[in-house]
Amino acid sequence: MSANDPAFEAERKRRIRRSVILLTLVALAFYVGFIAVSVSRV
Amino acid sequence: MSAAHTDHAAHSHADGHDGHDHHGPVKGWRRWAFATNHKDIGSMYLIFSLTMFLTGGLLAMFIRLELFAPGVQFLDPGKFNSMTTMHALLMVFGAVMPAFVGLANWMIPLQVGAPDMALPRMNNFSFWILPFAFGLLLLTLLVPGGGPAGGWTLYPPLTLQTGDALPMAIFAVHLMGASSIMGSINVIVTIMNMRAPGMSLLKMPLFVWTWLITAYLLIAVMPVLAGAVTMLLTDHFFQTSFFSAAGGGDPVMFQHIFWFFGHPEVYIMILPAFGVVSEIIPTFSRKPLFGYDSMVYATASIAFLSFIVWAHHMFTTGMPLAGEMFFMLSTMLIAIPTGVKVFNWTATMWRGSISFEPPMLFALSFLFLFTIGGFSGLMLAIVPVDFQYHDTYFVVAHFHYVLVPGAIFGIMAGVYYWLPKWTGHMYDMTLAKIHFWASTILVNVLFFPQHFLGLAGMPRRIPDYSTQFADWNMVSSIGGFGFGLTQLLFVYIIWKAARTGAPATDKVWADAKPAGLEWTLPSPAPYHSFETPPVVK
Repeated sequence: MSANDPAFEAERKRRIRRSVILLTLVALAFYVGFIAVSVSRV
Repeated sequence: MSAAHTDHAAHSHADGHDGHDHHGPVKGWRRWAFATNHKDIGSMYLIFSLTMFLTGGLLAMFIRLELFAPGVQFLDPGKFNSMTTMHALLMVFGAVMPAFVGLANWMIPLQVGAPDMALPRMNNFSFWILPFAFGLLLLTLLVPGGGPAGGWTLYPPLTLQTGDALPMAIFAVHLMGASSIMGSINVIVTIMNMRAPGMSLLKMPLFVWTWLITAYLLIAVMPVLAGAVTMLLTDHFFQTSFFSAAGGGDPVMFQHIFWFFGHPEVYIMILPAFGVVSEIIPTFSRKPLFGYDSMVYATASIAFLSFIVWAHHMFTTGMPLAGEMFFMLSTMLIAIPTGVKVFNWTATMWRGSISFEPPMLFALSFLFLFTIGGFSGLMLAIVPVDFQYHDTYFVVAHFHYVLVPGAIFGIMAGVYYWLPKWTGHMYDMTLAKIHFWASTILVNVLFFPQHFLGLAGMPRRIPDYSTQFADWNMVSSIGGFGFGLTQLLFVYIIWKAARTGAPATDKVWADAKPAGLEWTLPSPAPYHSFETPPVVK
């Protein structure tokens, strides 16, 4: 499977989409998590 | 980096890029407003950061003008505090961070052999958020009550006394954070998914490595800052008491949360500069980088340690002895991976055939002067010593040594290294060397006396001071005015190169045989970089 192969491209797009979702969730978890910890601390 | 060997140059310009040169960028404002090309977006980031650097620098000139002599001459204390706060916010979020994102946009696809960033539309969005964020932030200077004046750390309860500017500043911080997070996601997915065949992680250029690690740092800590300022907002407008002792909250908790973001932020601003320097020193030493693997591990170690040292900014708030010991020792641990890096750069130059072109001069200046900032950081890590130096000009000297001859010289080194590849034109070497020497001398005139002022007890963030501090303040201000003026020369050098510079060769530094895929492309790099992926052996 070469870099210009459509199947390779499709697989790469799938991996990119998955990575974006995962990283966005990580960022959201840090945002919500720190507020949640602060609420419990107060 | 050992991966510069490629068969790309031999064939792909003929069959790959030339076929695409006819559909270059669209003309007019649409090229920039709807830009999805990594080079266009990289250029916009770099121009934006230069604008913010000059704006933040202008505010610094006001600060140094007020501090030129004792007494309040030009700015009332409220305006002075506003100037220091805005200077810091503009420089950190508007100048240094976008400059590195600009370098990343330009260089990461070129260095990993990709046609573009993985998420071009998000790239456009993350850039165009920034002018609105900083427009909003600058507008706070015009609203009733003036701009935020509680320092860039936004500590409550002081920051909560801000007038109408508070929600604007907080929204601006949210926008900057969203932009940074989107930029980081783009960098990570590009590096992890778009590398040329054969380019394993440990064959990536150091600049790519440092950015990969920086992007993970950003994703972890920018939401924390966003959370902290959201809580400030609810404390101010929705009667919560996160940081209000009267309602059962704790203002020191804000400091813990802020510095959980703030200390990694320091490394966010310096790790990509480490990457730039790690590209330049081998080129102009005409030797491969010494200890490539250890450089990667040292960068990762610094990033990890940056998460467990935050409270060294808060020793004087009072904490248990065990806490002080932990944060002091963990902070000192950072000297080990940083020392590995300084040793490796030095070892790279050892018995090298060194030449002193402008990028190398800035890299060497970075090496010496950043190390001075590192050493004063070690001094501040010592708890009883920090009790004496805390909130004095010694701290101001320390972090300016890290950020100006550290981060900003790293950016300038990168610009001087890659500018011919971007524009296709060489810049005026003589002027660039004058810019280097003037900057290096004047940055020391500006910041070194601030060590003496701090050791003598001058507090930071004050518009007036005792007459005993007058002499060194005057010297520092003279250095500041000179350093500020010198940066106009930097703008002129870039402008002149872009307009009338001599054509650059594809290798640019051919005599030094630079390693990396970017040098296999023509100068200027074609609009579509690597449509046919190069093969890295």
